Amino acid sequence: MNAARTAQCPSDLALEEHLLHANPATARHIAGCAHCQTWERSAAEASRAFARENPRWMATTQARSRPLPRWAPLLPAAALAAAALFFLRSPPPESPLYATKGEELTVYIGGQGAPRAATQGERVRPGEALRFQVAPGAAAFVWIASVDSTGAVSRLVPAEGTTPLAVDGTQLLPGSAVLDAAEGPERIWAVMSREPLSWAVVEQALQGSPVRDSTTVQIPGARTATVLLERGAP
Amino acid sequence: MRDGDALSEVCRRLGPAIYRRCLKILRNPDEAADACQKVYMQLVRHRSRLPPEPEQLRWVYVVATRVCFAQLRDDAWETASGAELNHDAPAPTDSFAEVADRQMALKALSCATEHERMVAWLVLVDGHSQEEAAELLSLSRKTVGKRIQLFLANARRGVFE
Repeated sequence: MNAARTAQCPSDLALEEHLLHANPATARHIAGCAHCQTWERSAAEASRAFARENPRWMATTQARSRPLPRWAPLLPAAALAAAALFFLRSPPPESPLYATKGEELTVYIGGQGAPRAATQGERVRPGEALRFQVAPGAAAFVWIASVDSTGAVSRLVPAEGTTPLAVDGTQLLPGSAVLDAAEGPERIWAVMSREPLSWAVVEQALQGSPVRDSTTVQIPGARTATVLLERGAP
Repeated sequence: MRDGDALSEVCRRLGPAIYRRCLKILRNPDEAADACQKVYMQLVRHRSRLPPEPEQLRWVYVVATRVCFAQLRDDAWETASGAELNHDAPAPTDSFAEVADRQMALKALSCATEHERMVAWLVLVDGHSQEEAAELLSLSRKTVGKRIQLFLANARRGVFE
């Protein structure tokens, strides 16, 4: 049976506001309230149904083609310069690049041979298992999620429950994820916050984000670290 | 940002919240999707004078609430039964007590006017204070209080008769 709303429960509107802009007080309440946890699960389920059934709503802004800006003719030259800079400055391949927004996430790949730390853009074979190590620097709550090329979000760690993992210092997280046979890019995200964020907040922030561009995701009250993987046979 | 860009950004950001709101009141995915379209039309109509971003969720929340209650009223009118809230369809996980509670709530709601239903819903189901409900519906707190009292009195009478 669904737990009844208590006098301390935030209103539906306050819970919706929390999903858009995380509110620490609301997050604390949800962590200890069965009714609001049920609400949160229903909200996440409805969001998924909405994204599935009404993709045009979600994709409206991304699908529209924009006119090229005036500086578009300079793009090829800029791209060449950026590529040159990248190759000149990138470390040797055996040195893992942990994260683009702070060295706080390491993705370990296991399954064939010795486990290895993933470099950015590392190719991962179907069936290989991933484990995650985070180093938030101080006590933090952590969600690990992935976004595929369609913008679909998968929850990886913790796989169950409504609250994120509490992590203090550098920690190899329990549990692992196994990639399926689908090919294409997959971006792994670690979302770290001082106050526990609900999964619905994280999912909504990542939903539809471009897999190859890590700069578009902003989650109020949270830091992110990310690693891009390429799924498929080498 | 052009009106169209601003509108599509609002839809992308608030679409799930609008759908959740409609689904909670209507409890039927197809009807919730229809209601979303009506809210979208309201957004299109008001695109040049949408409230600033921090107030947009509150705005669409109220619009979606009004749209859903109007949809319930129209459906009830079309079927002439007067009690067409979709809450009588039990979910597979519902216990006997939940079904009984829902049937009692349905009976109470069916006796209320549309305005009473909306106020009762905001205060008794969504957990808003009477002040918040008054602000959302642009009513005085006193009016909200009266409507709640009336709703509860009618509900008790209807349930125990």
